[in-house]
Amino acid sequence: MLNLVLKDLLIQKKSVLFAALYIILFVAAFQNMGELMYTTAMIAFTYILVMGGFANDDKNKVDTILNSLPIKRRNIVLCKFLSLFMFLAIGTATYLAVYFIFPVLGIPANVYPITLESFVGGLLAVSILNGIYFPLFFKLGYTRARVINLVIFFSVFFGVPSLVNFIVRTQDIEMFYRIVDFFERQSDIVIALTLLLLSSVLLLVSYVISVQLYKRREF
Amino acid sequence: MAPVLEIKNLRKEYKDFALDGISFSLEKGYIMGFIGPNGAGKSTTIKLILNLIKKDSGEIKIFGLDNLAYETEVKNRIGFVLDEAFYYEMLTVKEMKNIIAPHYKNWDEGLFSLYIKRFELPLDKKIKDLSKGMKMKFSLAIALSHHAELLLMDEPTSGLDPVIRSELLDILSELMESEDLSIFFSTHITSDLDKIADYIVFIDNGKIVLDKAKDDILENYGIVKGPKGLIDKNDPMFIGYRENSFGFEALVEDKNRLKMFAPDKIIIEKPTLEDIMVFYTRRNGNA
Repeated sequence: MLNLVLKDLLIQKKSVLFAALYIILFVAAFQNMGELMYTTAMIAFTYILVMGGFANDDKNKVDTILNSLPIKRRNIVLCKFLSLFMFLAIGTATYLAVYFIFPVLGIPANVYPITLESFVGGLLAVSILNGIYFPLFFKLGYTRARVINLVIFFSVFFGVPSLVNFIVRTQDIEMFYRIVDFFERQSDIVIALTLLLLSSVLLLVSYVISVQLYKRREF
Repeated sequence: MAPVLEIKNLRKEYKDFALDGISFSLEKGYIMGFIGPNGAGKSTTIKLILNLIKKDSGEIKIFGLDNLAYETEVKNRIGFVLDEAFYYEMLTVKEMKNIIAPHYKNWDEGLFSLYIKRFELPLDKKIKDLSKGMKMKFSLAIALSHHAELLLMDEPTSGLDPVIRSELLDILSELMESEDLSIFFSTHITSDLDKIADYIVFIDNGKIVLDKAKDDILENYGIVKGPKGLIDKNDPMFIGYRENSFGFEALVEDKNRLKMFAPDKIIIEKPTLEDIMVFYTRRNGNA
């Protein structure tokens, strides 16, 4: 089964290099991001490769072949989720390489270290985004899901700030402060574990939904 | 012993087409030709067998096992060649094989190497640079390298030149010398089956029109031609009746029944599978 995970690298060798190069340019270009540098770089890096993987599957209609082989549909889905972790690991390794090599080469750019917060934040962001995207891809395939993804992306982009404003203006502001207060009273480790747990639950729910949708898909 | 492939009352409905409760079965060691015009339901049937689409009702048993309940086990014993090569175009033959092979319990690398040599397939060439014939041969090499007991082929010859088609038919005849293999071969190019098929199942517009041994069909069926007005064109004995300026022509299931006509009035010709398909399709079109 591991070969289904690795094939997501094999089919986009050039994209992996491109995405790695992107991290380097990203770090050089956005010098004032602080701790968000790693988090944002990982969102972009995994986005490029996850999209590329699904796009290649769709373009070559490979789902037909994979589903004709003695592979369970749930394992095809599982491999895609494992690919996501593989991309995150490669992205993190690339970021670390940039972090260590930039000073050695004397490149005058700040590379912010990966902290516990930025790592867990990155994991959570990647889990949320892909947790939403994956079921759509498994239901509709890349080409048809892409349009919906754009809608989601812009809804989140413009919608979330408006929503937050709306809630803050009209709703239970007490509740909001209580949540903030709760997190301020916890140690970093507890927060990290909470977010890690949240990421895991999100991905698990997304996986279960994806499997159900993919099982019903026709090729 | 259970048939290798058994289909009972299989239904699948689409907006504009329905596979209408079809049934047939294939015994071990034979080649079954599954013929019919484009859009008749051939690919739909094969996709249902492979669980690429979901049936509405009916039963599909392979080696006596339900194709869904024993999906992985059954698929380990099936080889398939589909009408298109659904591979990653940017990978080489070898890379694509490496993605597929580990999923088969009985994958035989030595056998694969043999077929690669025999089919003269370039392992390091990218799939996008292979000709259509080469891609079909690659699919066939994959299908034959895990000791499959049933070979499912969906229009494997469509779009191929006659040389490669005849090469494929030679390979299939050769494979049939071993009694362990059975082949289910869908095609609209019926001449492929004239030589190799043992049984013919003919599907038209989602319904099975004919399910017989090929030799029975070719021996008993006849195309009858004669002057206009000689026969009653509404008699169900005459399939796909048509008139032109010279007279009429129609297909009959049993040419012995034509003995009631004076031999100098009619001509009886031996039909090919293609003729049979054309006459039946014409009848259904007229119905």
